[in-house]
Formats: sequence, structure tokens, C-alpha cells
Amino acid sequence: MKGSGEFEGSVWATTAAAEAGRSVLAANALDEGGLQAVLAEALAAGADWGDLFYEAWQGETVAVDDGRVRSCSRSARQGVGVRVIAGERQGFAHTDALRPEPMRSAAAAARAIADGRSAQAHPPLAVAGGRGPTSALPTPPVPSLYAADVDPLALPLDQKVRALAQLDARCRAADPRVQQVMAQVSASLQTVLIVRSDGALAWDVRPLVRLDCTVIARGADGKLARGSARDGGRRGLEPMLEPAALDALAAEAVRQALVNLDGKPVPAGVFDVVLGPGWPAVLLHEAIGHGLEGDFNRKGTSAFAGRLGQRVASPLCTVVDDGTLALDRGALQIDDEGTPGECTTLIENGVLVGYMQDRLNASLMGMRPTGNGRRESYQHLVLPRMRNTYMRAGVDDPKEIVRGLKRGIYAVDFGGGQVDITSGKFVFEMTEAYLVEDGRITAPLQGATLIGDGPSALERVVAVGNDLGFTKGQGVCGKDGQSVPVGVGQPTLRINGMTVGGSQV
Amino acid sequence: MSTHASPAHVAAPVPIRTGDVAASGIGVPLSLLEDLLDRARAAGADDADVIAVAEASSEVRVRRGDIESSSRSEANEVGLRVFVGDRSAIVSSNDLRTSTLQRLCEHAVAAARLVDPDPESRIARNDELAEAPPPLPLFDDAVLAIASSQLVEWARRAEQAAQDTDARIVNTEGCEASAGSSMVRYLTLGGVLRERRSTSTAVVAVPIAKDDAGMEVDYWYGSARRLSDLPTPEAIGRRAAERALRRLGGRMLSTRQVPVVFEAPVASALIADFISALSGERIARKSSYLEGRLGSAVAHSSLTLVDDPLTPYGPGARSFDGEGFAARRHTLVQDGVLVGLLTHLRSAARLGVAHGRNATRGVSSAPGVGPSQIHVANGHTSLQALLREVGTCLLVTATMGHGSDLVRGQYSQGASGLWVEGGAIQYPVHELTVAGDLDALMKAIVGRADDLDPSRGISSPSLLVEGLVVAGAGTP
Repeated sequence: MKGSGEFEGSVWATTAAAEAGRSVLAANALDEGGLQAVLAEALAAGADWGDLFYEAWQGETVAVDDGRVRSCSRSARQGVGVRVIAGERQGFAHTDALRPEPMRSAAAAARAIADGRSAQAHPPLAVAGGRGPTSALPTPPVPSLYAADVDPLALPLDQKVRALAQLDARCRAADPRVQQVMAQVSASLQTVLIVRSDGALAWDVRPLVRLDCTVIARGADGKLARGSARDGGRRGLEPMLEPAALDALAAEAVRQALVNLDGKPVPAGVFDVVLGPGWPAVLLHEAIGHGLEGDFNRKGTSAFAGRLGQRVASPLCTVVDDGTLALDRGALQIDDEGTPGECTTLIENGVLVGYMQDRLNASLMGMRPTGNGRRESYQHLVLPRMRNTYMRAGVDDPKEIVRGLKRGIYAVDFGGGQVDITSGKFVFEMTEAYLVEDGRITAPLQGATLIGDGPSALERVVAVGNDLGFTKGQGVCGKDGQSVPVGVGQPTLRINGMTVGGSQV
Repeated sequence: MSTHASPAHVAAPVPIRTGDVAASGIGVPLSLLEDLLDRARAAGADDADVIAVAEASSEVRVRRGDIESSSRSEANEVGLRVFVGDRSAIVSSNDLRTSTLQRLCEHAVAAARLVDPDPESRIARNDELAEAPPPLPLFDDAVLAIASSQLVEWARRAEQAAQDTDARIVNTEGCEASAGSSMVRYLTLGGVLRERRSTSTAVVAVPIAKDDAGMEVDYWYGSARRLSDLPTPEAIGRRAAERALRRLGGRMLSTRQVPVVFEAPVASALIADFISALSGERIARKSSYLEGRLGSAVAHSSLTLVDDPLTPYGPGARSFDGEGFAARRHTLVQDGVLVGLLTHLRSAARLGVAHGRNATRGVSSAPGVGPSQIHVANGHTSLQALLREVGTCLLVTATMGHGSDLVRGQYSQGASGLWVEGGAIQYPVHELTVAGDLDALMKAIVGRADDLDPSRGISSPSLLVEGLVVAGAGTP
């Protein structure tokens, strides 16, 4: 695998990140040089590429349910994953024992993939020595995308406990129909060091916080309904736990639960649908996002394979995957292979112009890595993954878009979604939606699943609003059994002809 | 959010590992658990328990005959729960150095002092744990002996068999084979020790079929705790290929109300959803449509559901639950009537119902509840005969989405399958939704085939459900 030429020598996300990380290493009697030696051992049989991923992760979760703040859990993990690439083959091994012997054993296991190809000409690749840490660190190549100097774990636990108790009380006080409140605050800090066979070293320290609130309400008929609200991102917790912020979160969750109490059964069939701004962009993530990840296109298993340069969406649609949205859940200063974060255009005015790439798939496709190489932890292989996938704003007035709907559905909040990359079929699940008749919202609807065809869904976008919005700190993407945090965004948009999984014929 | 591209990984069992590791008895030593509990007590804990999980596995992925990845994995992790009076907190770590563990103990005790009291939460007393877990074999030395070259061969054979099935199998997402083992140790401050060793091996095939109309992917897998129970790679590859091939040329349906037959794997997912609604935790927190329904009909009178943790080498078998209780069978639904809930100590106390011994426990969270192994009994007729009997119906072979809304009790899923008329399969259909009231749906399960797959944890034969609404963009 050829280097892209983007990296010459050492790369540092920020000097602060490197310093923080180095102190974590030192606590384990390790340093960068020792990890480079482990990588060198992995590459002893020759390889096209190799990297070592060191990770130290800490997280804390506190939850309230049944009116008690009672679930408090703090976790820590650390370990090293060693990867060797020879052609299209990857050898991988990881260990949580940060001692020389287990790490060497992991390196040997990863190397076996190249050993098996010893007849082929892959000259041994020496890890560049002497380019490791020096007293003069290079200038950080990217500005910090995360809240500076934030250790989200530093906030005292009693403040979180108090905030959750307040949130619970506010929800219950808001309406007598509120039966149950479940809220959770979680915070984590991930420190990573990437040691690469081209001599580059990259550190990143990534904070991530999230506050979720779910309310269950009971109607006069005894039926239950749910409402939820959340906040979060790569920043500190304090602003989210301010009284005004808690008020707003509680009000939103209760409002949605009460709307859903009145939800009417959903009509089944084909409808024109208006999607609200923000989280409804889970549509983009499923309908086109996964299908534009490099691995599926290299293997020809995506419904979008071989369609670069072709029209795949209405000319109203420009879609990007962006790792540079400051403080966003999907922000990545560098990806898990050390490639700097960037904003990658996927669809421009309806035409497919780019895929999301990690190094392996980029190299095999003759393209450049786009900063999408991600892994759940040191225990997982790198895959091309999304960061924050969003549609750029259009020119339409969102109110006019709804008013233009003769008979259809206006969906403003969603649960999750899923896609079959190969057939292109995708689903996503409405959690707050309304029936629209003659341009007027006439009734709230219960939840239902929508199904569509990814490659043609965006062709049927007939209006794009001027109100681009982003999800507030939610989004977990699963692929190959690996979960990573992502964001999404979009303006209000109208798609004609979606199939709605209602229960009323 | 999720992707369906490699369902293989979702379906495969936890990749636990072989081992040289497990075999040689490495893992988290008992003395470390004892030390951790001593430290917790010294830090001020009134009660505590600790769980340690050691896993090791090898996994190989082959694509188009060549190795795509070869991974070796080993992990050791401990989780400690401490109580200070009625208050508790959890800490977990895979860094097992003494200094780290000491810090964790102090943190856990400090955290427990800050949260609310929760009087129903507690660790089982020694007298409650006096019953020893039954002997239950889950470990096979033959799985430990599987070499990675063997895994490569299996994955290659599965892929080859898929390709040999039909010329329209033109590509694959790859085939995987894995083998692993795990060891779980649970120890209470009262001195009760539970240990479980298990092995698992699996082969997964994900072929892609293509014709003029488009591409379709599907998958199949075999998994077993015992090597001799694993189906041949050829059988797995062929089954996966047949599943992808039968999707080719899918048509749309128009929206209609029809009988639906859920093919066994889809029926199993439906039953798993329903079982989630029987969680005592969920019901105690008033977030299940089945709250207050104990003793009443919740499913068709032909349906009986028993949680059975005691099958030797069973995929969901466990000799003790997540709170250390000796496992035993627990009936949830008898002839359609809800007679039991999935409960652990806390939920049983909150609800004032019988304790079901259904606790689950991960290293980083408090005990929850969950089923072990639940198999819906076979009917007396083949799937073909069932379809003949129904005449006109939708046979759902795959669903998409995250399952049912268990709060409201609503079922709504994306679906694809086969259209049946005159009792025979006519053509594949896709881009559909299937929806209905979950309570009504469970009561409308009027038929069962005889095709239960006993190698799955939650497993059902194909089920016939009357009166669901199918939506699609086809013209009537």
C-alpha cells in the first residue's frame, strides 16, 4: 500500500493531546519508542503497511429511573491493537496486557498474515527511527475541534446526581400524566496514539458527553406513550446541566410524550413525506451514507458501486460527511489511522462525487484517504465509517414545504434506521409525526417504520429548506459489530413516494 | 442506526477465544477477585460482589478465496459492585494492576455514598445461594484445538459452496470462521464462588446474487459450543446462497391486509421482541405494554414459552444466573396466559412476584434481566404444508428495523419475502412494511410449522399470523 504523501514524519493532533497521552503511557512504564519497537517486530516479515493503535478509555455513566438516581458505573479500558497489511490481507491482534511479552506475542500474531506470503516480494518495511518524540514538537496541523482543556470526567459526581434528580422532578412536575422518567448522563475520554509504519505518530484525546431523557406518559385510556430529548457532543458537561438547560430538556421530552399520547394509528401505504431538520437526517445516513463507504464500493457490493460521476439524487441535494464540525459528536481531529479530519463532499448538486475512505480501501481503489478510518476500540479493525453526514441547506421556506403537502406525513423525530447496502433498501423509524391534509397539520400519529430504496430515494427530493439543523448529541452507528458515535444533519426536506408501515389500510 | 451489510457479525455469537489462554488456566486469577473484595471492604463497602470475564478467540475472514483478515483477540476484565447501606455503585477495568484496582475500590465506595438509596437492590445472601448450580457442560476441548489454518479452510469451503450453488452468485461480502472460549467467575463478599467455562465456534457465509434486475445479499451461519454440532461449511454456504438467490427479481406489493407467515428466523426475532416486553425491570418501570397483565391472555392459546437454561451445550445455556442463583426452568407463558416474568432480585422485589432467576450481568453494569434459552415448540406440519393450508399469504423471510415499540405495543418493520398464492410460492417481494398491534398479533398466531432450529438461543418455528397490514408501493 502506497503512502498518500500527506505525512512526512511525525504528526501531532495537538501538543496538549500528546502530553496527556504520554503521561498515560508513562503510568504503564511505556513510551512511544517502545511501541515503535513492537510495531517493528510486527513488520519483520515485510508488509505494505502496519500500524499500532494504543488506546486508554475512561467513562462514567449515572442514571435515574423510578425516581432514584441509582445506576452509577465507571469503566476503564486500555490496550494495544497491532495491524499488518499485505495486499488486501490484514493480520490483526490485540492485547490488554501492556507488557513487552504479550505485546510482542500480538505483533507476531499480526505478522503471520505476511509470513504466509513470504514468497511474494514485499520488502521489509523499517519503522523510521529517530523521528519519534523530540523536545520540539511540530505545530499542530489542525485547530482543536473539541472543547479545549475539557476533561468530562472531572465534573464531581454529586453535581451529576443533583442534575438528574432535578431533571426527574421537572419532568414529573410538568404534567400529571408523566408516569416514569429515565435519564442518563454519560461522559468519556478516549486517548489514542497511532504509530505507523511510515514513521508518523499521532495523538488524539477525545472527550464525549451525552445527556438523554425519556419520559413515559399514561393517557386516560391506560395507553402508554414515550417522548425523549437529548444533548451532547465533544465538549464539557457543565453547560448541559445548568438549570435552564435541564428545564428545556425536560419540557421537550414531556411535550413529545404528550403529543404521542394523542397519536392516531398510522395509515399504511405510499405517502409524500416532509422530514424536519436535524435528526431526521438518519435518512441520509442509511439511504446513501453507508452505501458510499469505501469498502463496499471496492468490493462492488454496494448499490452505489461504480456510479461515481453519475446522478444519484435530485439536483437540490448536496451531501457531505464532515469531521470538522467543532464540538460535534462526529468531530474527529484525526481518524484512527492518523489522517486529519476534513469535510468530504459525497454528492454535489445530485451527482456522486466521492466515497468515504480509510487507508486500505483508498489505496486499493487508487483514491486518497478522507479521514473516515475508524474503529470502536483497540480491539477492533479499522473500517471506513461516517462522521457527521449532512445535507447542505436549500432555499425553500420550511413552512411553505409543509403547506405544499396535499395529503402526507410530516415527521420531525426519529428512532434509528437500518440499510441493506447491496439491495439499497433502507428503513427508518418515526417517533414524532403528524398527518398533513391540504397543507395543514391535522393530527399527531403513532410511530411507524418507513421503507425506501436508497439509490432512488434522493431522486425524489422535491424541496429543500433553508433551515439546516444538526442532531443534538445523539447517533450511534453500528457496522460489522462495531459501534462509533456519529452526527447527522439536514434542512427540512420533502421526499415523494415513501412507503409508510402503518397498521390502518 | 445500523447497517445491514454484514449481518454475519450481528448474528455470530460473542467471539470468544481459544485457547492457549483458557486451556492453560490463565484469565483473571481467583486471588485477584478476593483481593479486590478485601480492598472494597477496607474502603468502606458493607457488601460487594465481583465478576471477571476472560475471553480469547481467533477469527478469520476469507473473500474470493483469499484471506481478508485474520484476528486474534484476548481480553480480561473485572467488574466490582459495592454497597454502602442501600446505595451501590459499579466500577470496571481491564487494567488489573494493584494500584488501579485500589483506586477503583475507593472510587466505587465514594460514588455509592453519593447516589440515592435503593432498598430493593442487594446481593444474594449465602443461604439463598446454598443450592449448587447443576453440572452443565458448555466446554469442548476440540474447539480449543482448532487451528487458524482450519478456520481458513472452513471459510474457503463455505464460500466455494455458495459460489458453486448457482452461476448468479457473483460476489461475496466474505465468509468467516471463528473459535473461542470464555471463562466467567463470580464471587460475593460472603464467599460464594461461581465459575463457568464455555466454548463456541461458528462459520458465517455472506454471498451476493446478481441478475439483470439487481444485486441481493443474504447470509447464513452455523454456530455451536461443541465442534461435532457445527454444520459443515458446505451446508452453511449453500443455505446462504439459496437465501440470496430467492430474493432476485423482487416485486412490489400494493397495500393490503393478508395472513403473514414469518419464516423461522424472523419468527424467532418476533418472539425475542415479545420476550423483551416480559422483562420485570421494564414492567417495574412502567414501560411495557404488558404491565399489569400477569394472569391474563397475552398470546394465542397454542403458545407456551419456557426459559430453559439447562440444555447441555445449549446456545443460551447457563448453570447460574447473573446473581449467582442455580439456574432452573421458568415458565413465562402457559397456553397463551402470562404466568411469569423475567426477574432478578430487584425487579421481583419491586413487583412482589416470584423470583425467576433470570439475572444477567456484565462487567460494567448492575444486574439486569434476560432470557437464557427459549424454544417455541414445533407444530405438526411442514412449512410447505402450512403455506398450502393458508393458500394466499406473505411469507416474510427478512425484516429490517429495530423491532417493536414495546411501550405502545406496536409492531412495524421493513420486510421482504415471498408471495404465496394457491398454496405455492409465486415470486419474491420487497420494499414492504408489516405492521400491527403487538398484543393482537401475538394472539393471532394461529399456526406453527415444524422447522425450529435448536442451535439458536431464542428460537421459533415459522409462525402464521392472521390479519396483519402489509404496505408497499405496488399497484393493486
